[in-house]
Parts: sequence; C-alpha cells; structure tokens
Amino acid sequence: MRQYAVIGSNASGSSSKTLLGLTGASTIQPGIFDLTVGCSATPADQAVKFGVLRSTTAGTSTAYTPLPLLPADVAAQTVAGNAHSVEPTYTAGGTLLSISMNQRATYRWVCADGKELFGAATASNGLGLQLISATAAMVLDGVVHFRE
Amino acid sequence: MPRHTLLRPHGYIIITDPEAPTIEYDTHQCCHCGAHFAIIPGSGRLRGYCLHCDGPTCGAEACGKCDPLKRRLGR
Repeated sequence: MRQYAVIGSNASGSSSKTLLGLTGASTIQPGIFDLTVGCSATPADQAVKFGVLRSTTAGTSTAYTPLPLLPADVAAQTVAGNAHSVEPTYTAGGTLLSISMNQRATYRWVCADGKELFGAATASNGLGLQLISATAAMVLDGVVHFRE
Repeated sequence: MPRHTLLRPHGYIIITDPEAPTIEYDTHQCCHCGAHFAIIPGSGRLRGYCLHCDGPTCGAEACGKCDPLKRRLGR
C-alpha cells in the first residue's frame, strides 16, 4: 500500500466546517492511519470538538494533491480537498473518531497496521476531517496520513 | 499524566496542552463500524464484543448485530 499526506484548514466557523476530505472510488479505499489537529491562531480559551466522518459526496473544496510519503511513489488515486465551501454529505452514524479539546491543545492519533479509518468502496465515498462544533469561530489546521 | 493501556491497542491518542497535563489514551477499533474509541475506565460507556469477529464493538445500537467491517465497506 502506498502512503500519502494531506494537509488542510477549515474555512472560519464554529460548526460543521470541514478541514479536509478524501474521496475514494469503487476501486480504491483511503485509510487514515495518522491524524494531527491543532490551531495556529492566537491562543484563546475555547473548546472545540472535531472528528473523522464517512462521506457519500465530496462537497466543494480547494483541490489538494496528496503528497507521497515515499517520493518515488506514483500519484494517489484518492482525490483530496481542503477548506470546504460546501460541506460533504456525511453518513448518519458514520463518525469514526471524535474528540473534544481546548483550542490551545494539539491532538494526535495514530493506529496500528490494519486498523485504519476506511471509507466505503463506492464511487464518491470517502472521509472528512470536520470541525463539528466550537465555542467560537476558529480555523483549525489538520494533517492526515493515509494509505490506499 | 493519565494513561490507560491495552495489551494490543489498535490506536493511540495524545493531547498536549500547554496549560494542562498531557493526556494519552489507547484506542480500540469497533469491528463492525470501524470507529476508534478511547479506553477510559469508569467512563460508564458500555462496549461490546463480537464472538464472530473476535473483536470489540463500540457499543452503538447499530453495532450490536454482527456486520463485519469489511463486508460493510464493500456495500
């Protein structure tokens, strides 16, 4: 499996703002194995909740080319985007990872081999890293590493 | 530094906050929906275990019936 990195920040907001999205296909399933989220804005005492969710449509975003972790690898088949202006359609009950923290904190999650967060093997389906809710409008910065 | 460990965790979370102790958790992956959840003893959250899949479940009602993750992702 090839591994790639995608970075992204959400459009400023306090709820339902996607930082970055990965869209697979019937032949490719992106699987997130490493995730880091933080905030580069002036530190403030605010609470934030974010998560990784399964999506069925990609929404509208700024295209981002996944960067291979091994430079010799071919380009990813997964389509990535960040700073969504139109949110992806998320699957009800499809929250794969959810965390709440202070805006000042930095969060990292990493998984064992074979325990990645996968999207469905269906066209237009994928995963999104979303700011679910916050006590003030903010911009979060996220990095995900995924396999395909 | 709160830390709750498993013998073979499926994932690991670390939250670093300049004004609070570092928080670390191991996570398990639900063998039905694929979600990861932190292991927090005493949280009151009921989890499950699927004998078919031989793995933990997240405790959500939808994951109470065996529907293996790989089959679900292929639909």
